[in-house]
Amino acid sequence: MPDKPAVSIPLERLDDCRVRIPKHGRMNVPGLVFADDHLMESMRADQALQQVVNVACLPGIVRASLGMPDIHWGYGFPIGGVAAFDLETGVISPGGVGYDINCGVRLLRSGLSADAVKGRTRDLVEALFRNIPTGVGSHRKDFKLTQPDQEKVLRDGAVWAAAHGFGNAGDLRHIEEGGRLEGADPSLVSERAKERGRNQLGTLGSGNHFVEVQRVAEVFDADAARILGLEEGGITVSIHTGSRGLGYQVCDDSLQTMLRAARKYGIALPDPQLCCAPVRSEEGRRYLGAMYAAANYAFANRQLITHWVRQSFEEALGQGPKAIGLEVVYDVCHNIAKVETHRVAGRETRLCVHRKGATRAFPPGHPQTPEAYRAVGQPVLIPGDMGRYSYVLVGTAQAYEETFGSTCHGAGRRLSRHAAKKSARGRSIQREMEDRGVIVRADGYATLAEEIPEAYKDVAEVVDVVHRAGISRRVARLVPIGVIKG
Amino acid sequence: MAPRRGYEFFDHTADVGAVVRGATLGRLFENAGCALSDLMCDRRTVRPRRRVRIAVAGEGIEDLLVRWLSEILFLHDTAGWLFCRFRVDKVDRQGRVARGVAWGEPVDRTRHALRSEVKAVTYHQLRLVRGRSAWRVRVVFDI
Repeated sequence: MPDKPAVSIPLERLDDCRVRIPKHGRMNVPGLVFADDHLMESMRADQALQQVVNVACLPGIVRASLGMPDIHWGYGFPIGGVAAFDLETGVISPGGVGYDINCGVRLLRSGLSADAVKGRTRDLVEALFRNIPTGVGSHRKDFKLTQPDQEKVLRDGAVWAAAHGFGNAGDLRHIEEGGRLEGADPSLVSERAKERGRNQLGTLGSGNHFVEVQRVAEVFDADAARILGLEEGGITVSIHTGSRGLGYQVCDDSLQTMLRAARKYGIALPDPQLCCAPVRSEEGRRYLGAMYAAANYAFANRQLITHWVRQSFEEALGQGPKAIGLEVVYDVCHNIAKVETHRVAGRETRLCVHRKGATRAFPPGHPQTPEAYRAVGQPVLIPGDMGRYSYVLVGTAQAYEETFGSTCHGAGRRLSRHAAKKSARGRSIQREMEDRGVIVRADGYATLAEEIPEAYKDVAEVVDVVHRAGISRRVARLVPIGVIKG
Repeated sequence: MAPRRGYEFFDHTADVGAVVRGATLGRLFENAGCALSDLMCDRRTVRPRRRVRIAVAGEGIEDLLVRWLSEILFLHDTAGWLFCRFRVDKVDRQGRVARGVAWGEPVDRTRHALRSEVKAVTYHQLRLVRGRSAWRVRVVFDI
């Protein structure tokens, strides 16, 4: 738990899903937290609310410092926080993005039903485990990233990957930003970050990263599900990973610069980990360019892994790509800051929107919602723990009005790693998961013990709040049948 | 009572921290290296087969410690190094430079008991203090 006891913060419940933190002290805007009473209890306990207040003190913040229902303590900015800043008067902050730049989730649908793969799940999981490298000491012999290619990956993201045999144009149409952030500048990524990332493109990483085979267990909105290509009983695959060591290093590289910048521009920081620079400053520009490049790296990473997921299914099932039909439903960022246009006080305004542990949720009709989904809204992918369920939602006009088109990203930890390991002692987690119908393969870094389902909060509760608040709309629930972890 | 091996871990929300001690600043840096290494891999499974020189510069003593630990992380991520022992030859109290040697070997997944993948060494509430008999620091790692 964080080091100080919870500070008393004034709270006004607006409705059963919204709590306002009135502007007080040095706050420039109020706070707005999406939570029911139960979720609010754990928020009070871990200082996340104080962090919402701290973010509200930053210059140029617009409308409100937002907290999603899965909000919990983070470095400076809370995880599950959203903050938008005016481009001229506001700031950009690496703490508002996180170390794992563009950690995110990709969902694939297939032409397979759960019945069709019955009895073959173990083969699928073994193939995925064999084909998808996880990290240090684990790599594919048939893929090596050269330095020139790394520059292109940083500039072009998933577009590079698709052009080099790892995907197709259809994939790119269903990725946030088309899998390539315009404005990425590879020259602003340090040699150290490039070196740290060079052997890690196309690797999963460990901790809470995973590739998961799922079954669509429940459809809440039949029309939306049909448009997203999801049907009950269908097989889907989720990929959760980010920018690996390259992104972590880009963040690390930026911190001292931003600390100096905050002093240089006279920005008062309630917490040094909110270090930042004006968006329009040289420091801000440099961080944005490097961060976009790291985000592109993550898009490429998920594209490579998609390719190897397809390969794994073909190998395990002995069928061709058309029969298996793995297509990208969507791919979302969970840790990012982007320049976007939003309506503020009746005017279209360019803002720097930070989403740290939060997901973009653009509405029906928005030009950045893929054409195929424009009638229903941008898909929102919310992973749960490896034993229970994940959710697919869509963005709404309410989100666009109220939260800069943002929503939750998942469920935070309930047990610390130590507590989870203690709870798992003497248990065969792999056997327990199989008894629940989930085949798990984990190796290397993450011990399964740290990732046991009960170590996490219930994502259904988080999803319920965003649905009732109207900032995303439930479409389907997916349950895991096979998982690989690093 | 000082922990026997010079460090002990604590939970910090979803991440992990280490309380590190050392009779000298150099010894604290050595123990911090051991803590990070132990977090990544059970050090008992790592053999001191080869040695690597480490030299870092910093802006203050806390920053220097972060640079030292970040270099260990960098060597792990880029060249697959795992370490079991460190020796600090120079570390100055102004936090300008730290130099030393690390012993270890490249990762071998058949033999090494890998533990956590560490994303970064954070600056969270990082403060080196000199107590009566030892230097002490709490450092949090982003896992």
